[in-house]
Amino acid sequence: MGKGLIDYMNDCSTKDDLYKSLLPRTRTIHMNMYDEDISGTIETILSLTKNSLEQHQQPVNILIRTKSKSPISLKFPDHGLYSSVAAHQNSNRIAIMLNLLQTIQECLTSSTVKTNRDLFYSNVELYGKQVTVDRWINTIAQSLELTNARDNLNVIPAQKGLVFTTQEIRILTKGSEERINPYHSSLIPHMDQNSLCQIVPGRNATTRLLVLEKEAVYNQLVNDVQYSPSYYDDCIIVTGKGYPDFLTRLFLHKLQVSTTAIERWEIYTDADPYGVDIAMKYVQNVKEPCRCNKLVHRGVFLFQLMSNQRQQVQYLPMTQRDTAVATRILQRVTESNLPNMTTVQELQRQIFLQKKAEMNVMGRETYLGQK
Amino acid sequence: MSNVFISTANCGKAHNADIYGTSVCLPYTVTCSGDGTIKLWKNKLLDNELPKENVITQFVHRTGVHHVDTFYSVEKGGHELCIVSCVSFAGTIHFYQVDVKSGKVEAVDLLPSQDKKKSYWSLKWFKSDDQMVCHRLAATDVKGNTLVWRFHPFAQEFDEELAKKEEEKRAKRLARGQSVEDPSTNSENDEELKLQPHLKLHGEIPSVEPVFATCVGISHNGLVATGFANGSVVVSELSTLRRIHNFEGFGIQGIEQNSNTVRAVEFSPLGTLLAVASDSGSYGCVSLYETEYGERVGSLTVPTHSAQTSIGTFAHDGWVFGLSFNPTGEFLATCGYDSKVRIWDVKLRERVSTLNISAGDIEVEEDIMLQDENGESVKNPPVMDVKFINKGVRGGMGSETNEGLCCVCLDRSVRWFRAAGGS
Repeated sequence: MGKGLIDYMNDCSTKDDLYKSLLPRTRTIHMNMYDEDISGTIETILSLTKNSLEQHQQPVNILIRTKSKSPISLKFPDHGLYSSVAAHQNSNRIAIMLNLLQTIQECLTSSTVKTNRDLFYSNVELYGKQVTVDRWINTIAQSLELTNARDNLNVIPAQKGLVFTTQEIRILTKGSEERINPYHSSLIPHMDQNSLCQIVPGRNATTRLLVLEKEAVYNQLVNDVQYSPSYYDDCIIVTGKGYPDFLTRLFLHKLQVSTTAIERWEIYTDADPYGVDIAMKYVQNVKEPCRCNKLVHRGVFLFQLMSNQRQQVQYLPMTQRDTAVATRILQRVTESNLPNMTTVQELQRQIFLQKKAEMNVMGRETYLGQK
Repeated sequence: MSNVFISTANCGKAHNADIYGTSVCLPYTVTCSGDGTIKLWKNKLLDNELPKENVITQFVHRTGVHHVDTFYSVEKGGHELCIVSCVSFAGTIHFYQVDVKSGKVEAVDLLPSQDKKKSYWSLKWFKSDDQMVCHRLAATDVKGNTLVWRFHPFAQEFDEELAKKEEEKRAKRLARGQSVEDPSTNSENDEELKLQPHLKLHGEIPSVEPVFATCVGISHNGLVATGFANGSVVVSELSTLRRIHNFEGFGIQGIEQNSNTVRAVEFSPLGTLLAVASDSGSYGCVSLYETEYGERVGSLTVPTHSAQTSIGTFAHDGWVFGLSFNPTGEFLATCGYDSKVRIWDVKLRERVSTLNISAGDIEVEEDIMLQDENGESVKNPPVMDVKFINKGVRGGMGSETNEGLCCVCLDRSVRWFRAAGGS
């Protein structure tokens, strides 16, 4: 006969001891790279978890190493002090983790590539939000010490950015070639860190690169150039539709390191704190090796709208949130040794004037200099 | 006062970024800028002295400084106090005590620590001429609250409320014909006054809803006015901090003329009038309110089309950023995005003078800035702030005997003017 609670209480002198002796014996699974092969590693983790739960009926505790000091610990079934509140959330987390691992495993063995949007739609109920999938993919990549998460896990970000070009662009990835056809708006094709980007030289010597925050403005400009191509210089127009995704930034980075010279690198965003933030995201992304520091934030700025435009422009009032965001960005920007004065000035003016404006109000001729 | 203003001094590239505000006290004209510094320009310049060679630069905060106000007073015992206070874009208030004789600037901590947590926006000093009333500082925060502090120059705090009661008691006894001791006698035998400037919170005028409070003003007859980004202005009583008037903006949404942000409020020297600068779309309006009953007196308008009728009721062809009454309260100076400074006759509500600012009129040629780093033209620079200067404040070029003006513009310049002729 096993011990009763009274026996435990007799054995243990303190509450803490009692608590410890009542804890179930768990199996700790460390999630880190212990195999050359990712697929093998994931396989091992999955089978260890499965065996522990199914055959030994032992709770598992998966420890995931992260960049921060303390690892994430996922327990299933959830146990321990104060766990009733977090129990549901915790079991949900482990379900997401294992599910993702399994999908990655399937992708790797069948050597198929899935976008993280695909992953999300494969089980919307479980993941809830796209962000959850993205975050966990990152965590998994971190714990497995993968520098090149997207290529190694066969999970790639969904395409979001659009590109329009007057010159053909070729992208060489692992021997295969993908083309961006001129005079067509298309999604930025998939590529990886080792891809090469080539611009087929066009009629003109100079090429302009325009990055736009908004898709609406992008469509306008693309229409203009498509209908009367002879009016305009050679150009490549890119939009990341708001905050740019990894692929858009990688594409721009590849263009920057490509041999063909692009004369003017310009980025246009809304005249609001988020616009400034988006521009910074493109230009000076320190986290990932896809910064594009040739890009120059050329607008839209508040005073640009006021002085260039004699017709009435609608300015929107800054909300409390906008002001707080702008102040935070301003503080962050000025912390660096050599802050970009344009960014600082624009943020200060937005806060001071308590106004913001959309980039759509600016006439399209300002963006596209005619020949 | 003459209606014509003559340029006496100017300084281009005064700061490395936009200049957002200016304040004039007896020894210095102070400017604050997005480059994070304040500069104290010596007022008493000789005819051959250049402003740039007589300036004290003080770094304040890396995020930039947008509001500045100065307090200058000679207190009991001949203590000369010159305090410059400014607000950074991070929402912090900074105080600097300036030793006028040596020009030494020293950061001082006047604010009680519990009041430092708020994110402030604008501030204004109030220098009391009444011995029974403390000097005050008012500041607005980004959530729309207005805080008022009493300023005590000495370690010994002056109890305003007690003094008021004593005064009333005395008046009653006098009325009854009883003899009273002279109050001045007991203040004379005070122990040595220890100079220790500090602020003590008087109270807070809380905002009803969180709206950005853009500007604040204090009057000599005991009123505080706060202007908000949504176009409304609240006038409160200084002693009780209770709201007495509320001027609503006429906010129309969904059209180009939607903007009605209040950008500046200024009381006339006697406090009987309140001038409010607010947007009307991309134009700038200046309205005058009478403060006792809260009636709108009228607005200052530029006659357009014909000389007699005004079509648009705006004062500037651009947002109005600054307001300043002259010391007699007869004239009001306004400045705005249209790179103009206008002087108005307050009684007639008519424009008497307009100064057109052009970047090219800076004396030192290499300091002329025609466009900024982004290639935007500042040939006609927006005027960010304007202040009247009392007689005898500035020196050089006959400035001593006349009133003057000082304005800061977006071509990063500071300009000083004086009224023409002898008055």
